[in-house]
Amino acid sequence: MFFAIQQINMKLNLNFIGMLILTGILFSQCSADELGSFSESENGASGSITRFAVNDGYMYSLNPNQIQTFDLSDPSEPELVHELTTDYGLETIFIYEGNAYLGSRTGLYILGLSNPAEPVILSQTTRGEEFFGGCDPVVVKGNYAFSTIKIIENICGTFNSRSALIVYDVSNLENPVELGAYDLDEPNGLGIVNNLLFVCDAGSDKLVAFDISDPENTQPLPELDFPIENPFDMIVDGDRVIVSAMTDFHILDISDLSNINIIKSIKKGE
Amino acid sequence: MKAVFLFLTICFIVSSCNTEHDGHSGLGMQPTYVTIAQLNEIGNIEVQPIEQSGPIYLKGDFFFMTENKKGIHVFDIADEQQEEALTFISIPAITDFTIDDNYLYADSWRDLITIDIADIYNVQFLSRQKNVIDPVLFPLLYNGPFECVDESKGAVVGWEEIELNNVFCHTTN
Repeated sequence: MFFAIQQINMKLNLNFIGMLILTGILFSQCSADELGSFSESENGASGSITRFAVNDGYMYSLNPNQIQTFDLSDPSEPELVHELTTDYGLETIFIYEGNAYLGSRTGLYILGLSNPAEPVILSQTTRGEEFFGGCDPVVVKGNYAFSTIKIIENICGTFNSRSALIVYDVSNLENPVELGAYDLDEPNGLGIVNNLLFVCDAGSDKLVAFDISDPENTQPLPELDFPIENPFDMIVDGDRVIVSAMTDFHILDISDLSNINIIKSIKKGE
Repeated sequence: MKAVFLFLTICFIVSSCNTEHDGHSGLGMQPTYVTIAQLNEIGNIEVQPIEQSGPIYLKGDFFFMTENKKGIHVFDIADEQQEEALTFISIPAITDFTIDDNYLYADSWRDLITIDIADIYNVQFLSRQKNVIDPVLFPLLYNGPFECVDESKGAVVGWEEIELNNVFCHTTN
């Protein structure tokens, strides 16, 4: 993302310029409106799309190629205590049962936080070439991680995409196994409600539902898809779900999943 | 295999893209800045329209929604009648944040800032950790030339389309 600048007036050799252009393509797809996940702390929950997470007195902050750890002993003055370098392309962080799951453009990172002041990389998935350069928030339930990836290639103005939901078995944190991929249109954030996974799909203008009661056999559940224009991210909170979009957000009552109601919508205003 | 793929991709791109070596002129993007001093204009201001939402957070019934580069809308989602936000927390150049207890942490260009939100209507800017964030230095979701960011002018809070004369930066998106 940060390599998207070509200093075209310099005497660079063509390969280097090509590399810059390529990295520009690969790394400039994910905008601020695509940054994140659903990390629960004691008193609140973020969406699935965020670069910050707090756990056990420490805050983790992602730069594109770095995980920074801040000690919150004095919460009014976070202290940077650790930096961990990764490949380029970190985008989202989700903490689940003492581990951090990072969505990156090169795949999924799992970090161990047993020493919360010093995260360690337990594993890093690699991804098939057709998905190289995707943008992916991730959520986790039990032994399974669910990640959406969105790729908008732009080669001299020609757009192609292959976007999908990827399901991983993370029972072995040091060796996550990709179980399957389900094509989507333009997925953003995602959230889990019991045995259902909802994906904000801006391409099809709906929350796309998946049955994850048996994650190894994840199935789309189109009868539970819920129409929402251009959804971006969501937070599940008991019987209510908040879904954000570019200029508005919606509060849904999901106590009856076969009859989801919009309780309230807040629009752009004016 | 990946190396071959990369090489072929590079060849394709280099052979098919515009490879002019002079500066770009014509329609393009120019950064808009706030001064570094203005980054400290943090605190409650009047309710703002939602124009470009970003990361979100729910704390009890308080729903926090980023307004990209400007701040955070705060809504009470328990009140089904209330249409307007309760308040807006101005945080120039913000792109993301999180909350722990009564503390809100957000990016502020190259820095991390901490705000006490115990009183949501009267938040207190507490501290700034300098040079820990890598900000975006190009216009997102845009394909074309742009005026390179000049950090001596401050922090980038937006981009506007303008007639450019001989600029040396270009995105591919």
